[in-house]
Amino acid sequence: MTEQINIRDWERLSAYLDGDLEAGRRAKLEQRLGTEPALQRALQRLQRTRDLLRRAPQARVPRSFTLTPEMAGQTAGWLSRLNLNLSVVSAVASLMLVVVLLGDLFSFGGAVDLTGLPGLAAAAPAPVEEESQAFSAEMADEQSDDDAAMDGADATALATETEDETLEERSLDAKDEGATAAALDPWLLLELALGLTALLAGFAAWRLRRSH
Amino acid sequence: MDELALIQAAKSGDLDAFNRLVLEYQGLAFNVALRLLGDPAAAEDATQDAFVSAYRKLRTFRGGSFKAWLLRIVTNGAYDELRRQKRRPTTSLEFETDDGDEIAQPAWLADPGAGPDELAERAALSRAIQSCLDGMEDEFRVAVVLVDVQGLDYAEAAEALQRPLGTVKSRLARARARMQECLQSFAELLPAKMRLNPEATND
Repeated sequence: MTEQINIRDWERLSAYLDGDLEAGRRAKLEQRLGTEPALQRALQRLQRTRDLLRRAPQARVPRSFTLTPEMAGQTAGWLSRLNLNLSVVSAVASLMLVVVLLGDLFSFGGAVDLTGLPGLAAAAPAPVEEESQAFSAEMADEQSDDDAAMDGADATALATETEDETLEERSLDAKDEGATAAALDPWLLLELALGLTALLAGFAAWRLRRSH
Repeated sequence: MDELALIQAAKSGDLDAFNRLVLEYQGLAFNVALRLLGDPAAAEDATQDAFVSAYRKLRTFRGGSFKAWLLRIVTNGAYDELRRQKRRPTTSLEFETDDGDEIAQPAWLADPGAGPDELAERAALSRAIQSCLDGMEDEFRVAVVLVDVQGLDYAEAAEALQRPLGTVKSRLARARARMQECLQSFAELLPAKMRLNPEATND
């Protein structure tokens, strides 16, 4: 039968059993033990419990736990270095990705003009058109100078024809360049590479920490 | 070579010296881990990890009780494992074969010097104690394991647990109270001489 003993009394009984109760409290407790059978029974149960716990069988070790040189450090050393390297790579790649993304953000907002960069020129058609026109005029002038015998009407017709062909060719060239640039936008490739590097290195470092 | 000399030699990288300390304390470390975790395989891993960790952290040992310092590493490792187990519960102390058949005496408890009755009694007691420990909160379980099962004094237990002496005493008292209550429920499964009620011992 379990009798209700409050936690303070359990603490006193436990300390009493271990000889850890100071003289005054011990005398007081012994006086109570003489008059309170429930407290005395609790002390007996506690004492038997402690005795049983002290007699709890000790297991034999299943094997020796001595360390090999590898366990003591060599393996841990290179794993630790690898883990550190992966973490650094992941952190640097993440930082660079943030910088590139911020650059992208500002360039789309118009704060930075990236049209001079390779691949981004195609996104701005106006300069190509202007260049075509200037080139056509130049060609027309050269044509007029080289063939002075031709009359004005023929020269004008030829210049107009040349201009049309040139514009068409330049326009086609610009379209091709635009398609290639969109497919191989170096900024996009850089962002993808940085993002993948950060993710893979971070994941590898995390797995390494988990498994060791 | 005494313990202090072995520790100094191990700090200087002498692995043989450290392994002599391992041989000295591996029984204690394994039994603490086993009582805290209730699973021999998990206790084996926790013990090995604790010794590896102890070797790497040996430079941080600044004197005092090496046993308490080592047991702090063991108990911290066991706590980590217990937290993992709570996320994915496993079975308790193994008293079964791989096929699930119950065995009276696990090999790790076998004692060639004991008779069959004594072995059966020990197994019954061990099973009852472990069952009660398993149902206890971690902080109470570790206090009773260190002091009552493994025989550390209050000061060593306080050092191993990094808790004030008063906290350890209080936890130990509560743990003992829980244990006596729990062990009473095993009265019929234990031999008469191991029962808690004095009346029952006269059967």
